[in-house]
Amino acid sequence: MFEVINGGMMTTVQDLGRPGYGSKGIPPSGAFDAYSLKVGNLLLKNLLGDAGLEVLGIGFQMKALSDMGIAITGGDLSPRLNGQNIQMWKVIRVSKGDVLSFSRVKKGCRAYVTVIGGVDVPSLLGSRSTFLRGEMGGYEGRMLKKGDILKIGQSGISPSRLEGRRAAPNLVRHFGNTFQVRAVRGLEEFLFTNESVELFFSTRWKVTPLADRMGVRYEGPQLSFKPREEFMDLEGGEDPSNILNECIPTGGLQVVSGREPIVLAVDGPPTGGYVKIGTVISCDLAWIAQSKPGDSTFFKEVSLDEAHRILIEEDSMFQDASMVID
Amino acid sequence: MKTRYRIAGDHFLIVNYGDSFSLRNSFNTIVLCDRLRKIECRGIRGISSSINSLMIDYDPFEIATDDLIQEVSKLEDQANREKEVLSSRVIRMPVVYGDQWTRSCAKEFQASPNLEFVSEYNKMGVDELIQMHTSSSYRVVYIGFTPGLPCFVPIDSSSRITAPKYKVPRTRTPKGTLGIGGILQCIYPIESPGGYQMLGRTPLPIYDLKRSNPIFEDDIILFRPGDRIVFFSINHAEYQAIERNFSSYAYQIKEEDWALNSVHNGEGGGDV
Repeated sequence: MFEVINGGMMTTVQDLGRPGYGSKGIPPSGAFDAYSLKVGNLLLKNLLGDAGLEVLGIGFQMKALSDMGIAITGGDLSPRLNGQNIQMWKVIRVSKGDVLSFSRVKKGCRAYVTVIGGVDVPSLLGSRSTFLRGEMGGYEGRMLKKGDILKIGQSGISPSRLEGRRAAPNLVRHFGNTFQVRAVRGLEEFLFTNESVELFFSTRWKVTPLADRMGVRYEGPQLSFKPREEFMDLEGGEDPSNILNECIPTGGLQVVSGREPIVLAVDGPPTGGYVKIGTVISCDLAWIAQSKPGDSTFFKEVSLDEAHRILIEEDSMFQDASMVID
Repeated sequence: MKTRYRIAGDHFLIVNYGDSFSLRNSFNTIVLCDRLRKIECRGIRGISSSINSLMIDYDPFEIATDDLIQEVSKLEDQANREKEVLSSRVIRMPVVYGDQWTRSCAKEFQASPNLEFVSEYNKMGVDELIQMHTSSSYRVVYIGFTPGLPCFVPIDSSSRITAPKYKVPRTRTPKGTLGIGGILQCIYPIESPGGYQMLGRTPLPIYDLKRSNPIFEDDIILFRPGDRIVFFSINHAEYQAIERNFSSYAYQIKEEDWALNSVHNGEGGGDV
């Protein structure tokens, strides 16, 4: 068990989410940077989909109420144990009474705390993930705050056996201030002018402060639309970016009024009435999760085949024993 | 009718029946959702739907995108929509039209009383609008935006009213608000942001994680795509009485079929 000393900016329990409930208006949720959560679980010999904590920004502090083994992955928020810096992407042994804290945003913005046995909160619709807007899942459907006490799942593995286990350099991610995110074009791409589609895939977009688990919004040049049929004005809305309500894939690139594209993320609405120029590939949502307001992002077009190849490559890393150093 | 397949990244496929609104397209969407769920096609992780389209979340390790499209078009070919019957329900919902809560919410966001505004916009009196609203019935075309939020349209297109959405969406909308934006109407299941004009408020929860009424035993969400809604007008005292005794309130739900060629005004033959 552990106790929350300070909830920080926003700390939530997340696993790999609850896909498949879009028809009920429920987004998948889950770790925004799912890659980092999975690496943490891999190091701890958990199931890759066990729940951990997603820590956004600084301030989060927790005290161990029992001995445990943990790993910190994802963005570098200067994790410390009892005030001493600790290494990330590595199994750390924590003793009862130790305090883990995050004090400064160095690289990226979301860190993941995984623990041997996984964070144990009730499962809802097949997942332990928190969906804040729906006040559901995770720990009482909300972000963690001072005084919360969280349980840890059973595991036969003792922290001392895994202590020091770390990710191979290929598995570790480093984050800068410029991101390249791959996307498959499609959906309502045909409503944009050809020049605008090209412009979209060649622009250095800037992350705006409107960036959260629902979506990340970017600033850049104005995109324009082809003339369209009249009925779309009546049924979708007068703005040329309005369409009749459609399903939104996670990673959908929505462009409201041709300005400020938004990548709809893990807590994004399942449906919406704005044009989408394409979809970010599933692996690269993890990079978006680590981009901060002011950072630059390029969207690089990939074919569906390439996107599947990337997915297979990433998956095989998690099967590859040489990716973890004992 | 031409079915369109749209690639949405590496593990979503959108099946679209057209970019303009018709209840026929919604019917086709729900029929295909039903069929896809029944055949339990390998690799399908989830199916969600909107007005004219559905989205399949698939595992590309299990099924190739082209094979999935093949499977779906096979189902499309087999479907004889004129004979298709969907099991649906009719649900009666109480509403206080022009209630005090949405009224003060509108004030909070510097909007004039919404019910009066929508009545004027549709060139009718408030009483006339309420009369029309309670004598029509509505088809739920999809669930979205927040958990359990039903979006619906009047089945009889002659009782269709419209309203412009708020230019700047509200950051708050009371739970249970009946809203209208464009031709679509909705009920807000939880307090949430929103841009639809507020017509009234229902005391009946439509999303209940705590399952405080037996209706939520099987599902925390009341509405399903394809349901038919009928509204009836109540006053503030009745609202509060329902709210007080909610845990034992008997929701008025009846099973019924939905087919394209039988049914309620305007849903027959042609597009609505």
